[in-house]
Amino acid sequence: MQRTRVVILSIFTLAVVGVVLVTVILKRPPQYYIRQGIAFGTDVKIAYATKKKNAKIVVDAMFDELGKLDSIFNPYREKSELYKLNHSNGKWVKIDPVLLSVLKYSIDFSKETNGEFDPTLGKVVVLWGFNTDDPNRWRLPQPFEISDALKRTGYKYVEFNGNEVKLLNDVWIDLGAIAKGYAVDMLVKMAKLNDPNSSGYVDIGGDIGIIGPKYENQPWKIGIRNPRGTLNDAIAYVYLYKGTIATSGDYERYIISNGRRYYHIFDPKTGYSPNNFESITTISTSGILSDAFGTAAMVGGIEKTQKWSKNFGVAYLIVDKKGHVESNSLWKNYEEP
Amino acid sequence: MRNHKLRIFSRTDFWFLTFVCIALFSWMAISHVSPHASKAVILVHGKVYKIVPLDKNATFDVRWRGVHLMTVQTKNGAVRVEESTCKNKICVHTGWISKDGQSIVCVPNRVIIYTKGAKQSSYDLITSQ
Repeated sequence: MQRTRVVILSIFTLAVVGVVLVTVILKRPPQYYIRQGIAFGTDVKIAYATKKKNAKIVVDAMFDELGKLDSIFNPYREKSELYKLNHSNGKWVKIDPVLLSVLKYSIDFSKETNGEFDPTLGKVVVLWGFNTDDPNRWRLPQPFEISDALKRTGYKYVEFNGNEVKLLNDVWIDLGAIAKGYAVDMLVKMAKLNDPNSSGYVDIGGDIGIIGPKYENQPWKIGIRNPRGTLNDAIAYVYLYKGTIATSGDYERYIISNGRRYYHIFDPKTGYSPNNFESITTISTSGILSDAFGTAAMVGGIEKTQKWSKNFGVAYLIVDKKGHVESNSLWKNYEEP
Repeated sequence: MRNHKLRIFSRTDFWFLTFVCIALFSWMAISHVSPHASKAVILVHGKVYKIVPLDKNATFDVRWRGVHLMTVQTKNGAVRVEESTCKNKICVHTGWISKDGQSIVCVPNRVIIYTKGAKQSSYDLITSQ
């Protein structure tokens, strides 16, 4: 009897331990390889999980690619492709295919937004000093300086001939409004090429691309930063299984002069910052579109934003100048998990 | 005979089995709910410079190749950049962070500080301009 009792007790105990262990192991989330770094003048975070067990190799390759893209698009680094183009003195220049592709996209987007988005505002950006991280160099220029810089802008002054580009009228290209979005697209593509069923995200300074759902079937919960709150203060949330999300706003690079806020986005017609929204967050299938749309919307205002969102199929959430939140019908699709 | 079978499990056995069940299920619940030891990871130029527990109050310098970059403080489960040599001081103005996955970034000094295993964040990621 004693032996029977010991056997039954042992079996029972082992069964309970087994059930608990199996439950814990099954619920254990997949291990993400996470790497953080700095590129495009901002912080970058990539989280990646794949059953191929090569997550670290892939993420390291993504960071290498990011470095290459940064060296192409940074207009203020002397060896960059864009720097060379901006200093080509009106001559035809053969440029890197990646730069060519993004430049063509930006010009097409300018045309589709009737010039509200304009990648040729490089001279205006430099005039205000928002091309640097140093707030001591951010300044309110004199009106004559702005009108002078505006004369050297305009997307119609960019000409293409095969893989060559010519910049007329002394314009400077600044692709800061879409380069991060393009990089997000490229890195997500790399991750999915390695494993179409992989999971994770790419976050380049708040421009986020989803590689795959969290733990393979859960949405990523993404906070929308409160434009007048602290760095980690969210004003709304969305749930993404896929796609990209980006935010344009007036709250990181700005100066306040005579009670008015001037920031790093400019109206191509005036050379001053638009005064429409505190921020706009956009969701679409493409990082470059999410990025470009946000900048165009900040300039264009609410009516044009509504119209363009239908044309491009972009979901948006606006925080207006009074801090009120407004979103379109597409946005509602992301408000619940 | 019936009484004899009932005695397979004595009162001691009953309490033993109850203890086993409670202990295991408690461990299972705790492993899912309770946070791990809170800590902050400090990256300088992309490499881990230091990992500090957040449950200890401390103030220390972060240096790169002998050059002082910033002073970091941990206190009451949170971490902040108390002072930095960078010009814009965005890292200092970020203030205290304590939730899992939050970060402080100093681009000029190429320093990233992020929290791990702290309180559960209300979101996975945050989008900003």
